[in-house]
Amino acid sequence: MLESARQWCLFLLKRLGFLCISLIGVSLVTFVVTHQIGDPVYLLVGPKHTQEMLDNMVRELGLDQPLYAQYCRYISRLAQGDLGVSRYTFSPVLSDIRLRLPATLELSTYALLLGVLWAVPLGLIAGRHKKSWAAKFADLSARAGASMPAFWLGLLLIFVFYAELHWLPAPMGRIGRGFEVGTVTGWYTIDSLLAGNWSAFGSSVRHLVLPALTLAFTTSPSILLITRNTMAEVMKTDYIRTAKSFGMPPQTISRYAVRNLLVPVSTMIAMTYGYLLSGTVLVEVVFTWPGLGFYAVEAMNHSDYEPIMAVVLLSAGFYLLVYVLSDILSAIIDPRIRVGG
Amino acid sequence: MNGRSLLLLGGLILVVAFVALKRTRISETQDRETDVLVIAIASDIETLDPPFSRFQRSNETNLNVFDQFFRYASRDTGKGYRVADVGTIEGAAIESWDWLDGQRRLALKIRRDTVFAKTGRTVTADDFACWFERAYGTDSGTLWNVETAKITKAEKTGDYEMTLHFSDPSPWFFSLFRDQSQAPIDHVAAAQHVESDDEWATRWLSKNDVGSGEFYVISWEPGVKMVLKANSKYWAGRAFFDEVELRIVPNSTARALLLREGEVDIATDLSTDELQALRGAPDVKVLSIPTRNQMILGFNTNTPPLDNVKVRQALSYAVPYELIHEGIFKGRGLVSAGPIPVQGRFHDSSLWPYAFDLEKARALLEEAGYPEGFELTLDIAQGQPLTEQVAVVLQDTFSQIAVKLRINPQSSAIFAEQLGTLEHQAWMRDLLWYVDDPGYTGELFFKTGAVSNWMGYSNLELDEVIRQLSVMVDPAGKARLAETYQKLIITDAPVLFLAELPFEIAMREEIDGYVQLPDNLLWYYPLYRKKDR
Repeated sequence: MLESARQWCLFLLKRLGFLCISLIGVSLVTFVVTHQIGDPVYLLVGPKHTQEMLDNMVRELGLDQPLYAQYCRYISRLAQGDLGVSRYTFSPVLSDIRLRLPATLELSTYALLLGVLWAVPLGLIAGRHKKSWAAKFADLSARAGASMPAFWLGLLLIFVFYAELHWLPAPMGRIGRGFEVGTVTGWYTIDSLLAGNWSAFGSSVRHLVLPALTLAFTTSPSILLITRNTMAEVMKTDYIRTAKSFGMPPQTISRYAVRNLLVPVSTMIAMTYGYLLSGTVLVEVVFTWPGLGFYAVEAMNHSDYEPIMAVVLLSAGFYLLVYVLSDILSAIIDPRIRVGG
Repeated sequence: MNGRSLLLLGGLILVVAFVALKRTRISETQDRETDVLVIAIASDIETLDPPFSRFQRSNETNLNVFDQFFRYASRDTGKGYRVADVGTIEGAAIESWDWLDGQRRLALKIRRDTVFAKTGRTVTADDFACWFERAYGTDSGTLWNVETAKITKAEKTGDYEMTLHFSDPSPWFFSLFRDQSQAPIDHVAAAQHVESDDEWATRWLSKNDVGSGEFYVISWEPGVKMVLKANSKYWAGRAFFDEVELRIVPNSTARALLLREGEVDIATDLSTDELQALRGAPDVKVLSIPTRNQMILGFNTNTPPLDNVKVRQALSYAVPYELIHEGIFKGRGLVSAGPIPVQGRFHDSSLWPYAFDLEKARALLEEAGYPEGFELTLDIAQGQPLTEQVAVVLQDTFSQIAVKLRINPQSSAIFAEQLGTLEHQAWMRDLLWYVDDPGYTGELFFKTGAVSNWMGYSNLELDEVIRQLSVMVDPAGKARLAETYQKLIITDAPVLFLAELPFEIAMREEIDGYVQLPDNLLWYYPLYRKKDR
């Protein structure tokens, strides 16, 4: 018992240490890179300025300090929860992010659910019956999803389902014009349900369909492939062969096999979710989805350091957190992982 | 449940969902009010505080939300739109004015029937006096306009009267004071939001409009939309559209599609290809209007070989002006012919000697001592397809006179920084001369050490001409000086004047009343929907 607790403590400490070091590394690299994309002062003051205005702006932004001093100042502010002020929106970055994060979370989560819903079953069938139509379809869709640019697929879907068929609404945000939803969670689908506003719920679902489908199709091939390949490997193992030779029913064999898939597939799902939160940029732009990706693009366009830093750190932090949680989950499922460290 | 069952279930859910979607169809986009003007814009509005507005999107919103000191009159072109008549100034927040002391003092009479839309307070001289105080206190773009207009003092002389004092007569005062940033704000409302570290309430004013313009903001969802409502108490009467909805649609293909489908009334910032595709679309029109926006290639005149005037003249002869005009701008802009845009006052095409002549270019290069040519790096800002296309055309023609042009796209921040620090060997961008006055352009761009003299160019004779232009209010005297101004710049060729770009905007056929302003900002007030008029 004591040994097990010690193993858990060591395991968690290692993972959290890894998380902290990675975040510091990410912050350092991002800080240096963003400060290499140009001095924003000339963009901020515009062509109509005096030297005095320019100097004041440099001082105000702290750009007259050496880069390491600027970094230290940024980190000390970050430790106090201050992500700075956007030079473009004139708002604290934290409040900008609070406003936009629910949109990205909602889209990413539904995209992941959609992706898992089709990739896992298809992967299971393709792994069990390698020469079936399902295996061929899985192979084709995984290749298509992995090679197709998300923004292109998004535009194609808009053209077909909005412009041609008129089945789905215009790519103009998260909900139709005139709908009011509360701001309990920031997720329009949930907030509209909480408010009992069914038409708002319908509208928010309709607005979600295309961007979520686009993301699901382009990000879930990894889940599909790992499910298929692991299933195929498991089906070749001795214990499955033994079970088959004992004449066990296919459902029971599948159940045994699926247990062995839990660790790799859940890890991949977690990693895909982490990726989704930072990988929605182009899809958000195409579908006018007011999330973090769109915010980051605007910040990049205006060389607005603070939001870029914050979005990158948040994405990296979330990715790492999901990774650590997936590690913990794996360790719970498979004790060999925590013993091995 | 095995995998096959899960797959079947998933498929079934998808089919049901699609059938349901098809049955419900889109209704939320079809019941639009007819008096709402919906405009698809590319990016969010940065600030509602005019002195700090630096990007086109905010400038446009502020133009429509605040009531500027003055405005230009407009005239019909007979081509389905009107253009601002920059020679005729009309009062806006200022009702009338009188020049005194040989144009060194200006007595302003403030319009009495003007109120701030949100607070209901009447606009008085106190608001104007505070506006000037804030300009000096915040050290912002507004102050630049005040100083460039040569204003030394602004004093309140009555409840509705102000007097401005000038160090010299200011030929471009009116042009600067019709800028979106030159408009009164409710100083009483602003004063209530002053903070210990923000004595001018800049934080609050960046998100809250307290203007007396034609519209006011009723909602703003960052990253989604801003809704403006017509000011029913506006002194010139309420605008046609009850509301203007600015929908942020960052993808230009989506903006074009939404316009084609009638989802929005106007789509801004579309590419040349998207505009071309929309030209044949039913119920959509594309306005293409020549402007004073010049595509310019600037040289760093301090470093060899571009410090040699003959080299710069040679390159002026190596520009295929017609090809750029016809091939890239589809004949919709104008062929450039000198430092004053073709549509500008005092422009004289007869002074322009350059035409595409590679023989002459080679001869000049030989005279300059570069018969074997040289290498030239041209920096451009990324994400500017038209600039890139012009650069590629120049790369081809310059190669025919042995000048190897390397095109170097940079991030917009690096590009702007290197303009300011004179680090480019050559650069290219468009420059919109919205103040139609060569003296102003000279002060800003061609004078030795001017704030935007990104060429490091210096000609003392020209400096003197610019100095005289900057105090000359007599049109005949100005025309005489403008001629010398053009001759000197054309001879020195510190930049290549490549083309004059059109301003193009796509809208639904029923939208009418468009007025082209010199700064390419969209003015919502005169717009109306034809079928309702």
